[in-house]
Amino acid sequence: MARIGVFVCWCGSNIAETVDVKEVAKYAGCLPGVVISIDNKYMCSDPGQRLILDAIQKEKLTGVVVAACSPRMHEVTYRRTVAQIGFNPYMLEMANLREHCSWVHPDKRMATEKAKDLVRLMVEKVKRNQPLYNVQIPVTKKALVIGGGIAGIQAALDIAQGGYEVILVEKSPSIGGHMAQLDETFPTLDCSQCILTPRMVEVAQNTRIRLYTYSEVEAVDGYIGNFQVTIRKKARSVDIKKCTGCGQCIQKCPTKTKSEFDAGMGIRKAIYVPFPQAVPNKPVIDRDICLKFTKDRCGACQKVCPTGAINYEQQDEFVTEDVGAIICATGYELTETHIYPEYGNDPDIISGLQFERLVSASGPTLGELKRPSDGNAPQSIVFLQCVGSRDPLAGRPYCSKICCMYTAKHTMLYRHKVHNGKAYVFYMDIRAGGKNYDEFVRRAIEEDHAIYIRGRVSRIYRKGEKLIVLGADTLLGAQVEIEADMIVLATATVAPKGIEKLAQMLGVSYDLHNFMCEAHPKLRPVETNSAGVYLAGACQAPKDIPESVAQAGAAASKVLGLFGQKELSREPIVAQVNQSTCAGCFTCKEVCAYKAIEIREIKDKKGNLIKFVAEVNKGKCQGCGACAATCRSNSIELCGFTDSQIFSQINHLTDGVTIEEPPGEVPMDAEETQGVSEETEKERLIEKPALAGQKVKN
Amino acid sequence: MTKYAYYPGCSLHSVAKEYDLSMKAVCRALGIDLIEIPDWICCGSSPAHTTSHLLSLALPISNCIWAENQGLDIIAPCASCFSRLKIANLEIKKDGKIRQKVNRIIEEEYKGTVDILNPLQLFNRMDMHGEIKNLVKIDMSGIKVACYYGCLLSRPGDIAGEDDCEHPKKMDQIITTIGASTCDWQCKTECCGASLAITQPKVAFRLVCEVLNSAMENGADCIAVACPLCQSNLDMRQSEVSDHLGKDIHLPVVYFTQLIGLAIGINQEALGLKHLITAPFSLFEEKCNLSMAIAKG
Amino acid sequence: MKWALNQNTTDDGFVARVEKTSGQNISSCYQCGKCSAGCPVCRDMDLAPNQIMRFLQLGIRDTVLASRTIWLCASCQTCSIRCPQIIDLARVMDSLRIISQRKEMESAPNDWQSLLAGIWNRFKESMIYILQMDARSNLRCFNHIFLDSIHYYGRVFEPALIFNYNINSGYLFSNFLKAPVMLLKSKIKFLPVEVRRRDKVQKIFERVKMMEREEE
Repeated sequence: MARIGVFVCWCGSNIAETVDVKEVAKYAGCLPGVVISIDNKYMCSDPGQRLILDAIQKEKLTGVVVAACSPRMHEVTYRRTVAQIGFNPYMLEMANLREHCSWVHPDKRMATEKAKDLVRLMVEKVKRNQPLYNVQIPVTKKALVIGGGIAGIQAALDIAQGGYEVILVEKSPSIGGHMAQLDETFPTLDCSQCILTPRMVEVAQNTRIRLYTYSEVEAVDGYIGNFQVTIRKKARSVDIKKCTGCGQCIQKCPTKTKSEFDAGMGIRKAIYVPFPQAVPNKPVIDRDICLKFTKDRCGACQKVCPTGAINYEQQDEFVTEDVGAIICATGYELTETHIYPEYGNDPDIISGLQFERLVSASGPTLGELKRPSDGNAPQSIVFLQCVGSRDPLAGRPYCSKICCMYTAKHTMLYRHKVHNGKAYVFYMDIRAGGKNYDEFVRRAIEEDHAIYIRGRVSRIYRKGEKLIVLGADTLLGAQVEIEADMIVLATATVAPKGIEKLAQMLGVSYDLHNFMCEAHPKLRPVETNSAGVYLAGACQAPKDIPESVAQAGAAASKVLGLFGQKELSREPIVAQVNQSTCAGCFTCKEVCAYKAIEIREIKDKKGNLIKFVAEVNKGKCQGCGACAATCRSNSIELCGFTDSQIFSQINHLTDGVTIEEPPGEVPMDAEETQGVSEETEKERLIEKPALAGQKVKN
Repeated sequence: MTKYAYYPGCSLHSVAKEYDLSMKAVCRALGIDLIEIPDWICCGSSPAHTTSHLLSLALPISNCIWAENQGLDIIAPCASCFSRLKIANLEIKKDGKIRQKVNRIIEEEYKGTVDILNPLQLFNRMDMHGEIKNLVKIDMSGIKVACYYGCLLSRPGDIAGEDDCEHPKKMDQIITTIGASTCDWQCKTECCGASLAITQPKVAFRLVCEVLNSAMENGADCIAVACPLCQSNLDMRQSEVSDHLGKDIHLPVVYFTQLIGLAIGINQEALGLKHLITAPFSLFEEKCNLSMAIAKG
Repeated sequence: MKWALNQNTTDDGFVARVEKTSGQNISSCYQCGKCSAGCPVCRDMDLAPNQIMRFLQLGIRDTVLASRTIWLCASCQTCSIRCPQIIDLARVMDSLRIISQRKEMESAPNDWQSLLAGIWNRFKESMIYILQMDARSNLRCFNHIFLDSIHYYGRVFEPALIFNYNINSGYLFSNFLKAPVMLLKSKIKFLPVEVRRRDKVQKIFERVKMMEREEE
C-alpha cells in the first residue's frame, strides 16, 4: 500500500501570491494514498528539507511529491536530500506549481484549482514509481581542447597540471589566437606578447599536451567519458620533423599575399610562419596561392631547403583519439569593416584588430603608426564603437563587450605615439564593468585627453587628404562634423564562420548568433547540455582575456572533477528493452538521436543464434523516449516515465476523481462550479509563455 | 578677555550696520574683544574673483598682515568677506608659489598663520554655548526661526569647517541654545541670488521668492541670517514677493546676532533692529512679550 | 545645429588656458549632469553648466564665451561641492569670465580724470549694450564699476556704485525705488570713506595687472 507524502512550497510569494498553498496542501492530504501533506515557506531551505526527512521516517513514506518549482531547478536538491537517509531518490517527484502555474496564471482561484490537479497527477504517478539505481560508466582520462587561443592554452595547461593528458587542436598553423595579435592589453597596458608567448612555449614543452596545429576536428562520436574523436591534420607540405625552422624557404618564395596574422595590414609569402613567435615555429605552404600547386612551377622552397623538409606530396592525415571530456574554445572573429554602407570603404577605415597590428612593435610598420593610404602619421583619429553591435537592424542586438575597453586602450596607444594627435571616440554607452576598467577609461579621457562623443556616426566620406565624419553628439544635442586622418571601427565580435557545424558535431546547442550555449547562464556557465562537453572563452559569448582565462580555468576544473572519479554515475532515466518481446525491427535505432541503440545477438545455450534484439547503451542514452514511442511491439519503456505512470496521470486528469470534501470547506454554488469547470479546464491546460516571460525573475 | 582682529568689510559699515552693531554688542557681553583692523580695504568680493584670480587673493591678504603681526585671528562677520579671506588664506597655505606672488603684490611678508572665523564658528567655539545659555534672560521659546546659511557660509566644503555643507547646523545650534526653535527646511543652503540682485534682478527675484516661500511653508516666524547680502536681498523685496506669490509674506530677516542680543537682554537700541526693512517688532512683542518701544527708536 | 570640429573651429590653447586659470581638468567631466541638476540659475541660462563643460571639452571657444551662462552663474558653488569628479565648476566659470574680461582690465583709472574718462568710455560702450541688455554686459559693467570703486577709494561706496551702474548699464532707474527705503532705514552713507593707504591699493591693482601680463 502506497504511503505518499506531499510537501507544498510557498516559494516565498512566488507561488503563494497566486496559489492558495494552504488549500492545496489540505486538498492533497485528502487524496487516496496520501498520509501526510504539509506546506512551508521555503521547502528547499534547511528546515524545509528536514520536514521531508522527518516525514519519511515518521510516516514510513513510500513516495514523496514536492509541489514547488520546476524540477530543473530543484529536483536534484530534493533527491540528494532524501538519498541521505537511504530513501530511493527516484521515488520522489516534483509537481511544478511555479513555472507551470503561479507564474503563468493571473487568477488565484483558477490557479489554485490547477495546482490541485498538478499535485493529484503527481501523486498518481509516484504511486507507480519503481526504485531506480544510477548507471555506472567508465571514463577515459584524457581531454580534448579545441582551439589554441588563450582560453584553449589555459585550459590545456590547467588539465595537464592536474596530471591528465590533453590533446590540443588548432586549425591555424600556430597557437596563440587573437591575443598574439594584440599590442598591449587593458587595463594594465602590459604587452600581450610578453605574457602570452611564455604560455605558448609551455604548451609546446609540456609532455602531457599533444599539440595538433593546422588541424581540425572532423568527427565526434561517443558520450561523456567515452568520446572518439577524429582529427584531420591538414597537409602542411613541410615535414615538421625534418624542418629546422631556418626560414630560407620563406626568403626565396616569390608569391605574396595579405597576412592573416597582420589582419591584412602586412604581407606574407605562400610558404610562411604566421609570426616570429609562432608555436610550432615551422612554416606551412598555402596551397591556394603557391605556384607549385596553382601552376606547377617554381619549387624554389624545395630547392633551398637544406634538410629536404618540403614535401609537395603530403596528404591530409586522419587520427582518431579516445577522450573522456571535450573543451570547446574556438573563440571569435570580427566582422568586416564595411558593414555600414554609409561609412564607405576607404583604405583609411580600419578595424580595431588592424589598428592593433599597426601600433604593434612586431607589426608590419614595426610599431610606427602609418595610415594605410599614404603612410603618413594620422594627426587625428576617430574611433567608432558599436559598429555592427547593439544593432538589431544589422541583426546583432548583443554587445560585443570588448570594444569599449580596447577603444579606450587604442586612444591611449595612439596618444602615446602621436602626442598632439586628436583622438575622438563615438560611443553609445561606455561599458567598463570590471576591476580597474572604468578607471582605465577615465584615464584615457582625463590623462590622455581622448574626446568622447556620445552618439553614432551617420556618414564618412573623403575630402582630399581628410576623411569627414558626420555624427551626433547627443550630450550637446547637435550634429558634429570632424575631420579625421584615419577611422578605427570597433567592429562586432561574431562567432567564427561555420562554427555551427562543430557545435552540431559536439551536440552543443548554439544561439541565434551561433554562440554556443552554456547549460545554465548562472549556475552552469561552463557546462553544456551535452554531458562531458565544456565551453571556454569567446565561443560562448564575446569575452575579454581575463574572463576567457577564468572560464578556461573553470572548464578545466570541471574536467579534472570528472577525471577524479573512478567511474561515472548518471541518472537512470534511460530506456530499457524487454528483450523477450523485442522483434528486432530496429526502428528504435533509426530514431535514436544519440546512437544509443545497439544490436545484440540472443543465443541459446549451445551458442546458436536465436534472434537479434535492441539493447540500450546506458552511457549514451539521454532518456528522450523517442524509442519507447516508436516501438511497435511496446517493448521499450523509459525508466521513470513508464506507460503505466503516464497513463495513470492522463486518466486521472480526464476522468477526475471523487474525493472526500475537505472538512470545513464551503461548498461551491452548483452553477458556479459548472461555469468554472469549463473555463478552468481550458485555463489549466493551456500554458501562456508570454505571461511567463513577464513574470520570470532572475 | 579673548581678543580677535575684526574685519567688518564695506557692508557692515553701510547696508548691514545692524549686523555690525549687534555683533559688537553680543561680543562685548560675552567678553570677546574685537579690534577693528586699522585702515582695512575691501576684500574685492565677487567682482574680484570673477575678474582676476590674483586680485581676489591680494586684496583679502593685504588685510591679514596686521592681524598676523598682532598674533590675532580674524573675525569676518560678512559671509562674502569671510569667504574671500578664508579662501585666500587656504590657497596661500596650500601653494607656496601663489604666496610668493601675493607677497610680491602686497609688498609684505605674509606667512599665512592667521585663522579666519565667521561669527557662527566663533560662537560655536569651545564653551561659548554654555556662556550664552547662562546669559539668556528672555524666553524666546515662542519663536520659530528658519536658519538660512546661503552659499558663502556653507560652500566650498573646506570653508564650512567641521559643519556639513549640505546640512549645516551651527546657526541652528546657537538659536536652540537661546531657547528659540528652528525649522527643518530645504532652502537652508540654496542660493538667494544676491550676487545677481543688481545685474540680473529678475533671476535674483525668483530665487528670493523660492527661499521666502519655503520658509513660510515650513512655519517660520522669521529668518535668521549671517550674511549682509542675503539679508538685504531677502529683506528688501518682500512686498514684491507678496504680490508675485499672491500671499502675504512678512518674514523679518534678522541677523542671528540680533536674536542672541535680544535673548540675553542687551539694550535693544544697540542691536540696530530699526534698520531692518521688514519690521520685526510685532513678532517679538507677540511671541516674546517684549516691549519694543526703545528698539523702534 | 551642427558643429564642425577641426583646427579652425576648435581652440586647444583656449581650453589649456581655462585649465590653467581654474586649476581644473576639463576632460574629467563625464557629463552626469549633477551640476545642472542643482544649479539655482540653470533655467535662466542658455547653456546648462554641463553643456558649458561639453563645449569646452570639444574646444568650441566662441560658443562658450558668447553664452549668457557664464555671466549668470551666481558663484553659489553648489555644483563645485557636489561634482562627483571633484571639478570646481564655479572656478571654471570664474576663469571663463576672467579670460573674457582680461582685455578690459587693461584700462583701469588711477586718478579722478581717468576715472571719469573710464566711466565715459564705458558709458559709450554700454550705449551699445543698452540695445542688447545682455547678462554679459551687465555683470562686466558691474564688476568694473565695483573694482573701480575699490581702486579709487579702497572700499566700496554703494550709492556711487549703484549710480554708476545704472548710468552705465542703461538700467537707469533700476534699484532707485529702493533708495528711499534705504535712506529711511539709514542704510546709506552720503560720503565715501577713503582709506588712508589709497596709494597702496592702487599699487596692488597695478602689480596684479603687471604680473598677469607677464604670465601670458
